[in-house]
Amino acid sequence: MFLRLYFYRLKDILFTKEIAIWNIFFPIILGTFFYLGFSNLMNESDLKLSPIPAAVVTESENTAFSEVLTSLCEEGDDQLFDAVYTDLETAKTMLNDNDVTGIIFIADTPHLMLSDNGIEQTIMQSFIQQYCNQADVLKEIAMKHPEKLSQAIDTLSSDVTYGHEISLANASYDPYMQYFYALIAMTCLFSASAGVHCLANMQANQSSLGMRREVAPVHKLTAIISDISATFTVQFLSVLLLFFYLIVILGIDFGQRILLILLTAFLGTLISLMTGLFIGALVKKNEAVQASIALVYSMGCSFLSGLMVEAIKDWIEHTCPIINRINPAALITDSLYALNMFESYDRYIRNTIILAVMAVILCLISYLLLRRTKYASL
Amino acid sequence: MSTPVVKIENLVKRYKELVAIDHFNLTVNEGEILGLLGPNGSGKTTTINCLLSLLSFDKGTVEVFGETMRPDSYRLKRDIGVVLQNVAVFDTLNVYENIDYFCGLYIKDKALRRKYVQEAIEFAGLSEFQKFYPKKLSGGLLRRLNIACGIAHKPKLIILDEPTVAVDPQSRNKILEGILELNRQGSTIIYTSHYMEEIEQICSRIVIMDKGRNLANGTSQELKQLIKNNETIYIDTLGLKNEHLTALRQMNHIYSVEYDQQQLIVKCSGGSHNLIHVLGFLQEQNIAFGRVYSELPTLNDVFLEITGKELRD
Repeated sequence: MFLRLYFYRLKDILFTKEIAIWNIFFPIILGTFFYLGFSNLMNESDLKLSPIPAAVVTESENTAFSEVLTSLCEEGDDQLFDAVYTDLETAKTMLNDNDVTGIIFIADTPHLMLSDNGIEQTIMQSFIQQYCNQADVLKEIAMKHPEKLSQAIDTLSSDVTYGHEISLANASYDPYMQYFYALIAMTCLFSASAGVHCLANMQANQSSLGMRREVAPVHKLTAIISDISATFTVQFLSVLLLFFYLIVILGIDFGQRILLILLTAFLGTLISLMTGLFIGALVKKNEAVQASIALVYSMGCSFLSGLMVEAIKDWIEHTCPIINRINPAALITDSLYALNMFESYDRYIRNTIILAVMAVILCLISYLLLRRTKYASL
Repeated sequence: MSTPVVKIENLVKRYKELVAIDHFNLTVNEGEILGLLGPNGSGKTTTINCLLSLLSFDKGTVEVFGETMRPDSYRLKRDIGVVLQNVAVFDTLNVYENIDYFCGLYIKDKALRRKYVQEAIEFAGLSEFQKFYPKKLSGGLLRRLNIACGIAHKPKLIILDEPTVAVDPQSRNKILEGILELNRQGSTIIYTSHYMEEIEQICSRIVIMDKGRNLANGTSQELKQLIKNNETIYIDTLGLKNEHLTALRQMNHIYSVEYDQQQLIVKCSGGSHNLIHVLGFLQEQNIAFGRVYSELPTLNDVFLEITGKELRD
């Protein structure tokens, strides 16, 4: 029964023109426009990250930090900073004139002065924060377990390699990739509209077909799962097709972790489909209204994840980060970014878990809303 | 006495202030073709939707095959075939696939399903159109596809909700013949319509509905006997005077005489040979007459007399 319903539904969806247009062709066309618009800029940014210009002001002696800083300013492949040692007034002037990205203060607790947001500023913050964290750890070990201090220094020293922590050397990241991440997220989120349509075909108060199917002796759960599976198959295939087009035809580099990237797309499609079901089950209006809500949801989430304005996601991260934690589009783009940029899987795993948990919750709520439904009016 | 196929008792359905079904009772026995007759908005479809447990209702009970009908009464639903008022088929599946899809919701055995699908196609006269998609079918063929999807699994109870709306006369006759054939094959049928001719043609028992109430129920003849009017006589004639009309009104079984625009309309209750008696009177009075015809009462007359309004209002 399940397979019959699944394959008939699959055929039904595949032969629906609107789905082909919006889920397959629209993302490919948009991706092509992005590629044409950004291709020159992207080629330029293939250049290696240049050392970050920084002013260094000594507030008080900190030999250990000074040594670390000096090592990161030495010319070579691993040079992180292009440092100018100066006094505070000159440093401030340089910062105001944008001659340097920030001011590094050598002090008992090293700190920073920045005037803007961006990748270089983030790297500087990350460097200072990591140094401070490790210094605290070493101090604590020295006090409690002095015999293990040398071992700890060796361990931490091997980790204080900023060029590896942020794996820019292996990735072709540039700011314009964010648009392609957002495009992938948008394609995944289009599944919300498909979810609404899928449910409308199962509900007696939404369509004749839904009414006809509700009087048939098929368990609601079987009907829902077969329809959702078919819809999911088509939606996920459309995302795979987009990946194929971007990677193979256009040559966009999404990094080496393709399977994990596809897992993100899988979960992104799933949560969007579940959101569509949730909208369909919760909103007691006709399909057109539900579809409009799903579209607003898709485009709203995509906008907040940087589809139209790249900086908006960073702005949200600094002002109200919880939005980025629950916005599926932001989670998808962030996962793709994390996979491409970091060796560590922490951020990717966090995003993946959030996506999966949200999908399960939406699925359960939708089922509870739908089972044994009798309608007040048809 | 065997268990009724459908038993609805004291059903009440309200939409806020509007009472759509008002303490409605209905019993359908095995082998019947029961016609639910009423104007648009009389509550026929609402009754069907409550019966199928699609709609919630405020009061009453609905039993099918002796069991209470619920949304998850899958065993009961297996024996019910439904043809809805609106065509409910997949535009992206062809005729064969649509029938196979819906038949497959009831019949798991592949070989049996294939046989049933072919029989349904032949039954609906769609053999030449198996590969056609719904958008390529005419209105009549589409309705026939809708019926084939509803009855392919050979259900014991078939509910047809206005299946002939917007259908050409040829397709309509084909559909009505098909319904009679299904009944002959053993299915009990509930047929809703506002076309009294159809109801009269195929139904063994008729329930007249209005404003959600069961106004009358019986065979066509039984319903007609409920009303005063038994025969209406129309005679084109000239020169009738008031005394003639008065004399006519005094004749046996005549309860209404009107003369308007040179047409005499005489309504009779009961009796026989009323036409001969009226024409005899005109000849006695040397009154010439032209076209003469007589009409027996229709279900519309029944409806008119019970509700004070036309069925098609």
